[in-house]
Amino acid sequence: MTGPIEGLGARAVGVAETFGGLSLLSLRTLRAGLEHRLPWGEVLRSLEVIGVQSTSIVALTALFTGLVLTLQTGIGLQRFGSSEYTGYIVSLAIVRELGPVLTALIVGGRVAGGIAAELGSMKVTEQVDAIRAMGGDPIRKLVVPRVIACVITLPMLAVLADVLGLLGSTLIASAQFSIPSHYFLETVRQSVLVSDVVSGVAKVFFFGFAIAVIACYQGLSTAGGTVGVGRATTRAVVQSSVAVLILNFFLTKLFLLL
Amino acid sequence: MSDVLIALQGICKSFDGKAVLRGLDLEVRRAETFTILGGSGSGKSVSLKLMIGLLRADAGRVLVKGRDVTQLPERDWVALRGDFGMVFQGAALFDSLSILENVAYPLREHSDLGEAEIRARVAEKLALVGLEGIEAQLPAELSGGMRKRVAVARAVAFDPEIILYDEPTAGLDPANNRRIGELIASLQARLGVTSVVVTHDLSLCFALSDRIGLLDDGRLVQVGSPEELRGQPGAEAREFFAGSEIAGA
Repeated sequence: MTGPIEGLGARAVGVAETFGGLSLLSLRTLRAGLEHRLPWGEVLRSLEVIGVQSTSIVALTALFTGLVLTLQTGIGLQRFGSSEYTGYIVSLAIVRELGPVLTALIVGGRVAGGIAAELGSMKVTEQVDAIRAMGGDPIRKLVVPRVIACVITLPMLAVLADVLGLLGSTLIASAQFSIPSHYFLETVRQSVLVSDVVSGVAKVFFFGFAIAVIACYQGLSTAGGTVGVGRATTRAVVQSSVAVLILNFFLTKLFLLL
Repeated sequence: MSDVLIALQGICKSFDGKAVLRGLDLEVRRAETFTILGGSGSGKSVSLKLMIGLLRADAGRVLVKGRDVTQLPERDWVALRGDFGMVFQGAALFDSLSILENVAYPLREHSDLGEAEIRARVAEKLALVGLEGIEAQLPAELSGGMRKRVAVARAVAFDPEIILYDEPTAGLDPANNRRIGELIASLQARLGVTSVVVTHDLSLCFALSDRIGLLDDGRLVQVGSPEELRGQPGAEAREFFAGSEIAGA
């Protein structure tokens, strides 16, 4: 039986191993993506699965987030008789934070779980070994297409989330607080700068890379049959969500400095 | 040219501190069918994966065609694996790809053949295993026996010199069991390849093999022709054969 110190030590070693593995996989993915011809068929399939199939959930999340955020903000400002300023506040919140981060969390959860389960199943049924045995490179064949799909589609989905979030805001501002749509949109235009949109979308590019690499790493590290696939899927979802939240802070600080 | 195609010398391999192979010595000769016989968990599949570089030995040497490949980097294995075909225990067909794409996979990796040539080669290999006209189907649409035969077609697609079979009859009914055995024997006769078969199936082992190695406690305890193993089984072989038809042979 291990004591608390040994347990803590083992956990620290596990975290260090995960970080090392993720760093190594990131480097190998970049190298494989740059050095070899890409498996375009697999890239297109990943774009469809990761991007197109996530559109409806992103749209729904963004629309309702815009609605509820504007409702809460408008009610708060109404107490001070300044609900007409709602657009200034919610537009920045949506474009700089909620659009990018919610997109990454929602799509990340869906995509990380899917990738880890798919690659984990391939690992335990020896399909990954089969790729290697036939002279293929599992990183080029399996990881690169998924990373490309994530870094392309997540920023596009974030833009969609921004637009639909603001649409929801505009609708509820008009219906609940009688703020005319053209006035609300004018406050949005005055408040949101191009750099706000760019920093939000740029963050999602890095979120997409992190989500894909974490999910692929967990999938390819799967051991222990179907139970292992379940564990890998859970770890991928948790780790990718935590990575998005932590990265968000540091990237926000970085983009504020630029 | 040396008669020995693959050699494992003093191989040790452990997983999570548990020793699976403890100084395994093994030689596979050109154009023979060598079978590694042993119980579950005896390290048979590990031996096979060491030969093709899917696993690395903790100690000892792996030689392929006289070349020491023990520490060969993964990128150098890529070209070398063109000499190998491997049939995995569960067939390991790619679920998301059609049978055509599964069988074509090694051709796309190792050759510059055009699409028409690839299709022709795939049709030829599928015919070789008695499965014409299934190119458009997905692996999930096939029975276990058919999946194994597709895996064999994929393994021979690039005309390899060496074919590794990992428990080729595992999980199959007796009819498919016999069919796979006959298929391996006919491929051996027609293609003249070197085959390494890992199995605990005694009837398959004695029907196919030129030589048999009995793996026990992480090393080969007896190597010989089927007749030698039948006629002069050692203590471990007698124990392994106990209760089977071979015991009475």
